[in-house]
Amino acid sequence: MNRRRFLAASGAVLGSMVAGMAAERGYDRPNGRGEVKPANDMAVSVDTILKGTEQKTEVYTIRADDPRPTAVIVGGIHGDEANGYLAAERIVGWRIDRGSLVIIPRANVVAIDNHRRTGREGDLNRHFPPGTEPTTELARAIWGVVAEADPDVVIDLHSSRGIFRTHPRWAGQAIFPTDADGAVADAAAVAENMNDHVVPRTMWLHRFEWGNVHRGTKLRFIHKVAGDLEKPGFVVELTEFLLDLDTQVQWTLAVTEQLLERNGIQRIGDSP
Amino acid sequence: MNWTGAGDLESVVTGWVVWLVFGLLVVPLLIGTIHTPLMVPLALPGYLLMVALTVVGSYVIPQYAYWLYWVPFVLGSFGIAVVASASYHWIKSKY
Repeated sequence: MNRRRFLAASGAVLGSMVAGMAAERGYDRPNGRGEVKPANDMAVSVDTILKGTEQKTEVYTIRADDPRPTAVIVGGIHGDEANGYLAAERIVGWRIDRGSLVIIPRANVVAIDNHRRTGREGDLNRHFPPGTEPTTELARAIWGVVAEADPDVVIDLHSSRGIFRTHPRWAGQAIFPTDADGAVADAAAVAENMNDHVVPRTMWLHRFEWGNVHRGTKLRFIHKVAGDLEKPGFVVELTEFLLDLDTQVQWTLAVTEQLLERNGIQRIGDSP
Repeated sequence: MNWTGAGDLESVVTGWVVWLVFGLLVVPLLIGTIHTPLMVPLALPGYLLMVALTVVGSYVIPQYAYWLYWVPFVLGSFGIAVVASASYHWIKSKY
């Protein structure tokens, strides 16, 4: 095989890989809406917050026969962090043995549609002051869902450009717990399990760790969870560095599933 | 190294050792980045080089998006490959 043939063959192989993976994921575009398919045998209700506005978004509630404990899962607070909203949409299809999942897959629809971090009212994750009312209409609507659910655990899904404690300023591959009882132990255990069973040994700098404890001192969503609810809460941060989007979503789902399990909600089966 | 002319230089810069080392650094990492399950141990040298570049770069140019590091990564990989090739030819000429 001469050099030209080799290059042509290599290009064809890489091209078909990329096309195949795009088809496998079913993502037509980076901010495209994934499929939301509730499980047939679970009680699932759908509500919409901020109806009639450009920020309207769906809230899915999955209930098992025994409705407690309750978990709230939020994706898409930042519109350019696709793993969060794509993973949250897949969770809508989960079956659970007991408890309830209240899922807001696309918290910041305007930001997601524009594939930007911020939406119409700026960075949504700076609108949740602990101890007082959220500062924007969207933040108030989201917090209203959280307050009504009275959750036992809250999970907020994100991604970051770099890796926590490897790349300065970035937070990927980390689970950030609140200061509620057991949250740090849960984050540490899940990180260890991900490293033992999910992260390839080759990618040892992509190993998960648990990060800074959130104590209700800042304007972020999870800080309000810590300060106002005093319940276990977790920010799950994946990195976009050297990880394809499908893997980001899969690892986000794996972390979320384990956090739920450690807080009393067991997923049944493995689809979707 | 005992240089004897342009032919030696060409074999150091474009010879099979260069393409072998360059390929080992770049191709496995590229494939593993496109599809993470294919991030096999063969990608480790390129992986470490890329991480090192981005860590250093994050201090120097914090806003430099990481996908742009593929440019210095490819150039650096070629430089490493040329050094490896020169070392190979030097050792070969000695023994």
